Amino acid sequence: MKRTSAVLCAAAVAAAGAVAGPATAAHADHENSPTVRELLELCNVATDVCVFHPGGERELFSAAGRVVGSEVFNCTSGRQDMAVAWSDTTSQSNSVGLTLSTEAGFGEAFSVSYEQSYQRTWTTSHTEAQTTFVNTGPGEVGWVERRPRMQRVHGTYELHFPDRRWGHYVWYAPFTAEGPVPGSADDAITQNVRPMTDAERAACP
Amino acid sequence: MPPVRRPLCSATVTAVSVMAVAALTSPARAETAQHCVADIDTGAQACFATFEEAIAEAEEETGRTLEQQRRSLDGGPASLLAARADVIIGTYFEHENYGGATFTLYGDGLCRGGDGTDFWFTFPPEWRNTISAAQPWATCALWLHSGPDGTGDRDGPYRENTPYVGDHMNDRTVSTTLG
Repeated sequence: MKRTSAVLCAAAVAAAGAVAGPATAAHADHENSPTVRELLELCNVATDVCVFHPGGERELFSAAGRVVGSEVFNCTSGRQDMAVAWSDTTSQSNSVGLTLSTEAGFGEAFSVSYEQSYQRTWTTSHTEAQTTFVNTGPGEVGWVERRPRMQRVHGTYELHFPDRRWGHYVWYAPFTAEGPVPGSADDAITQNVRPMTDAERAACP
Repeated sequence: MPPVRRPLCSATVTAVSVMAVAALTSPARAETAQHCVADIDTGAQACFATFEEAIAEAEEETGRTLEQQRRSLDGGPASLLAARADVIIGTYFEHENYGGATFTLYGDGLCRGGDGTDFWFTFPPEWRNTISAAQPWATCALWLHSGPDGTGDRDGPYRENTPYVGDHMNDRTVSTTLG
């Protein structure tokens, strides 16, 4: 039996291929076409096949810097190495705003494909905890900033349904996920100092 | 072995493919093309530098109807393309880990999953001896061959996304079969 397919498409189809042709049943179905979210909610729930195909190399990037831990105030008369204990959690996000569980559904398909493709395990959330010593002079405030290393994976879901859904047996849906890179040596952790304000100086014991 | 389903993409069809490329892309653009797509049944092929260019070119040059609708999706606006019965059957990458240029084949149906060959395709000259990664789609098992039309040394079946095809066939692929 010849099956019909539809491409719910964004940039990912560049890698997937610009598959298209004279719109037949799909044309009439446009008014009732699904969103990417609706399709992914059916992955491994109502599908015969649900596979995520990466559309390129895994991209590594640094997240925006953020302050971690608390500020430390050197109220002494000498230079001090002051300990800043901090804990910072980075979590995954994705292009459809759905919670990605690696245990079931589209998240499972994603994590399986990710592991096959990149020989790593996809981590949905990672907490890094350290103590960083900030060398502060008398009357200075110290703090720590972290720019965690992150990864971005983009690609296309291929979904096969046993019966027509929105007029088609096969659907393609673009997807991008970002997530932490646990234990990355490229995490940027910086120590920062500035002079205390008058109010801060006044608060010193 | 069941009868071969689609005995296409022999040298004759490859020649048609090359002609189709000439019709779809100018030489200047072909030199910078990064993403090629080909219909395994007809050999028609087009190469593009970007996805946006690919879509625009496909709409304009191939005459295919890429129905596009802007929809406000939960994850942001996306365009919707409605396709005919064709499905993607395989994507091939220039570099390991799905890097570099890509070549995507589409055909008129899913693979049947048996021992037979549902599709075969000989890559155009510029794509020979370059492939390092591959992805079977459409429930296909994918094979790589060092000669044209499924001849020569081979490796496979690749049944999953494969970030590196292995030393045996890396940069040696001339044709592919899928079944």
